[in-house]
Amino acid sequence: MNNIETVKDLINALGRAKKNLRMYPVNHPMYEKTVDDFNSKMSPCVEVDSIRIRINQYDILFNDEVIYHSRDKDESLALFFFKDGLRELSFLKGITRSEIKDFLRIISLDFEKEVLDDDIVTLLWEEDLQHIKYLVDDTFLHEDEAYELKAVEQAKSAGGRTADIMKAYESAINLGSSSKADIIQLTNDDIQHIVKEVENNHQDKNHTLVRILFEMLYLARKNDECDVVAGCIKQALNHAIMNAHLETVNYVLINARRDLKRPACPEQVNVYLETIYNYINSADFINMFGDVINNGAVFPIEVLKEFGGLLNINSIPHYVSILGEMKNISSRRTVINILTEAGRRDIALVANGLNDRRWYVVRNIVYILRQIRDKSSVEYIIKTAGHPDKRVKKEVVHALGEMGADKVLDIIKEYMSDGSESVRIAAFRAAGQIGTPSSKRLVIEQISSKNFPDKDFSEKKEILKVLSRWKEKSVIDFLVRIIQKRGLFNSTKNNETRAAAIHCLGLMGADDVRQFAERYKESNNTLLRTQALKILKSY
Amino acid sequence: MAIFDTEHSTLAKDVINQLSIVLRNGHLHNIENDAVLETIIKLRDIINPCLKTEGFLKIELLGEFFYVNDMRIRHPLEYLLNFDYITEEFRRRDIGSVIFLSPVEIKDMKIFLNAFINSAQSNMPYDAMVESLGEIYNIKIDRLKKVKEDEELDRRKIAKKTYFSAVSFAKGVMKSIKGGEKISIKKAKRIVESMVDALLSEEQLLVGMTSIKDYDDYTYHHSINVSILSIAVGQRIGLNRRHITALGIAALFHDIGKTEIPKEVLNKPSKLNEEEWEVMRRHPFWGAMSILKLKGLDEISVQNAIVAFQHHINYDLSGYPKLREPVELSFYSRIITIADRYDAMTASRVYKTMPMSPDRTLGFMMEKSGIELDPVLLKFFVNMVGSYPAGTLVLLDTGEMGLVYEGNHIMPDRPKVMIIVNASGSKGDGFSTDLAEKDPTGGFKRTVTKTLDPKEFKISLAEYLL
Ligand SMILES: [Fe+2]
Ligand SMILES: [Fe+2]
Repeated sequence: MNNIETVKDLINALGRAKKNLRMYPVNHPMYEKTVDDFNSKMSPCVEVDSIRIRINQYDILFNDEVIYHSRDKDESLALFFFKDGLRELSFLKGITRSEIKDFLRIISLDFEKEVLDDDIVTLLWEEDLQHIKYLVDDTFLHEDEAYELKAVEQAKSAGGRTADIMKAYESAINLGSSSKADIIQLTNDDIQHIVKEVENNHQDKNHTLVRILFEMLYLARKNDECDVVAGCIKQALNHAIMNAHLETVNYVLINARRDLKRPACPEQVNVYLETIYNYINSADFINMFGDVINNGAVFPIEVLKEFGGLLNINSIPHYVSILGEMKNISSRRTVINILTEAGRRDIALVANGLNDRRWYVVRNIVYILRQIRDKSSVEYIIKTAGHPDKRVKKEVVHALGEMGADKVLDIIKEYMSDGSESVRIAAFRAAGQIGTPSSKRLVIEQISSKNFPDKDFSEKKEILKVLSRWKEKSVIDFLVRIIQKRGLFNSTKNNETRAAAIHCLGLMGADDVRQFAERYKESNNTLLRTQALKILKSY
Repeated sequence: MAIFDTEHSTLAKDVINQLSIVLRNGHLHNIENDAVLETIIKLRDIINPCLKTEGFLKIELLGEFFYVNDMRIRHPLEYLLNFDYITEEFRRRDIGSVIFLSPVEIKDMKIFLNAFINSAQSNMPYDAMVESLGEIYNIKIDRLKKVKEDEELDRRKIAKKTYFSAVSFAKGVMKSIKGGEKISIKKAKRIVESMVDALLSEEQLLVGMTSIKDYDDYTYHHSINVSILSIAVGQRIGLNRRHITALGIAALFHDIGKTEIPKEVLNKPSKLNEEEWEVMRRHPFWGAMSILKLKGLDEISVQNAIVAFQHHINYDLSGYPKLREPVELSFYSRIITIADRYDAMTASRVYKTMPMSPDRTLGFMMEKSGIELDPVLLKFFVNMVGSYPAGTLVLLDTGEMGLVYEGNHIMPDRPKVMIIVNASGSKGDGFSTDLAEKDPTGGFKRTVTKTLDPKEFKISLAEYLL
């Protein structure tokens, strides 16, 4: 038998552990340490003997002696156990750390704050811990003892007064035969089937509820019924979005949109569908969604695209606004995917985001406009051309290259002499992508300019590469001229330009290139020599 | 430290499962067969390490459950067939426990298996087996423990108390809901938990309570009956405690929408006209509505609302409410639909039709398997209530007539019966007997030959069973 002091100590430790665990999340090291500490107190005790404590309103007793007393309504461990009906707790020999952890987890829940439908007795019962037993006063479950007597008496008097047992007996004797329900053997397949069902039963039922709520909306006959159903659909949507179940939201959107278009849709249902549809497109809903995305929720791309495509234009400004709040690339990408689909309905609304003061928002919006690929967005992008940030400039020039025509060449030309090398290269590539005679002229004109040879080899190589898209004699001649040009000064720079031109000819598969490669394979200039050898090797 | 605590309970299940496999194989093949030998080796390899740490290993059958070294083993669904098999074989031989006292060798196990198999031929299988085991010292058996007469009375009392407390609670809840008052889900949970506890220890006793239908407040009894029958299925299919409770609560509230039906329609003694039926058919909608209105959306209320809405939709999606689009029926809905159908059909008042006897109801429901009712869940249900469910009037081969008051799901055609007419053909005083009982020659004392519908003869179940 444990001595009083040891158990007293143990109960005090239990009180401390309960308080401690409330302060830390389950995955915190202090949480585990608290469990360990209490476990190390409990283990030697139960090693000696099982411990049974009795619980009074304000006292805890061991072996008929009070070992704990507190009348504090927030702090008292005795009261805490007592008020849910616990009257006795036993910790049995053989108790494990994991049982102790489960027990501590249960008693450290905040039963007041959390809207729990569980009391401590329910939780202990559900956990069914093998080495922690308890006695419960459950008289409150049997409040109406008179009911049993009354019901039994009434039921007994209801039938049987005219019972003719002997008549029944006679018919039974004379009855030929009678059927019985045959027991059907359960097969292994049946059991596997049920095992799966039991597993699936863990899944969230919200989606099923939403489908039912939709049915209910049509079954409702009074406005207040519709109010309740619509309110629940909103709640279910919140639940779905908080748990990142975008499929459920899509289901609602698809149905609401489809039914709204039906001429046969009853007027009152129409009104509620409208409300629900608007709710999904509202700032409230989208801000909530934004938080979920920011917290790391990820969605399959098809689901996101479907979702974006189902939204209406009211949602666009809200998505533009949360775009700036996203914390990392993956969350930004999620919003971008939505906006790319939703934005198709109103380019101007998306383009409003180009006025954002944050460079990354502007860049993302340009990117989105680029993805949408609507010719009308070019105008908005052109207006962004003056943006000072080089990351925005690069995105702009990229977009212009993909969507623009000759009219954007002036802007591209300006970018060709930008202060940043990467912007300049992007500008040349954009011109190449536009691919018109004017853009070709622009590129050639820039390469022919007298400052061109001064550029670094890497830039020259990238710029000349752009020419390779025009596999025309005039372009080849132009490149040949560059190679053959004799410079008076700075032969190193000239050799580099030559190397870049040879590289481009190589890309085009021009016949002349081999001859030049032969000529320069022993050049003193390393870049030129390397380039020439590369060409020879590949032929 | 005990190795059969919660974390290791799979080990305990494996012990029972493997023992069952050995016995089964021993029955099917010659003991010297390689296949049998293999299963024996596997059993030895499971048992011996346990014996090293525990000192001994006792596998005991008590009531509906197995215990391994005094720890109760939860019914493992994946081993269900093997557990049922070994339970039946133990009961057939009147064996309550097998105790291994020290590590065993293959030859010991062979002797044990031989003794077990051969004892089936004996009139007194238990004694025969003790005799054959005489030569080995490390495997012992013990007789099946019977519930004593006064204990029997006691457990019936507890079951009754649990049942009527639940009904009285259901009555209070429905009244509160009708009056627009808040209800306590905490208390509902505790009530359901008390029913689960009663079902865990004595499944058939509480199920038997559902067979009495002669109450004025039948609506409240109905909701508790459906809850009990659903919980019993939930327990058989291996739901955990939390899910069983959720299932029981959903069943408790399945007809909550009926509180909206005008009394004149609900209690109309004659058949309903089409218009009244129309009102009646709205109760699933009203049910889901009032649950959602009451509590908003949380785990429990969502499940309750789904069940309330779906419980009259059939497996093939016929039934009511009529759906605009096909929707998957939830697992709980499909279980509760079966329990609801059974209780409603066997009671006279729920659907204003003639009540059917329990056994005929089961037959009728089997015809709807896969059409209106989930076929696999229905199998579990039928097995749970047995071939002769409580409330069936039976004629026995002894010439006695009695009422079934407790089914037996291991030997479904051997329920417990209350004798109301003696073998001599005179009115009996209602003593109870277990059809699984055997006489000294090894034959069953009593066997059912015919069944009748007690309601046809106005025999009051309440009078005999309460
Ligand atoms: Fe119903
Ligand atoms: Fe019902």
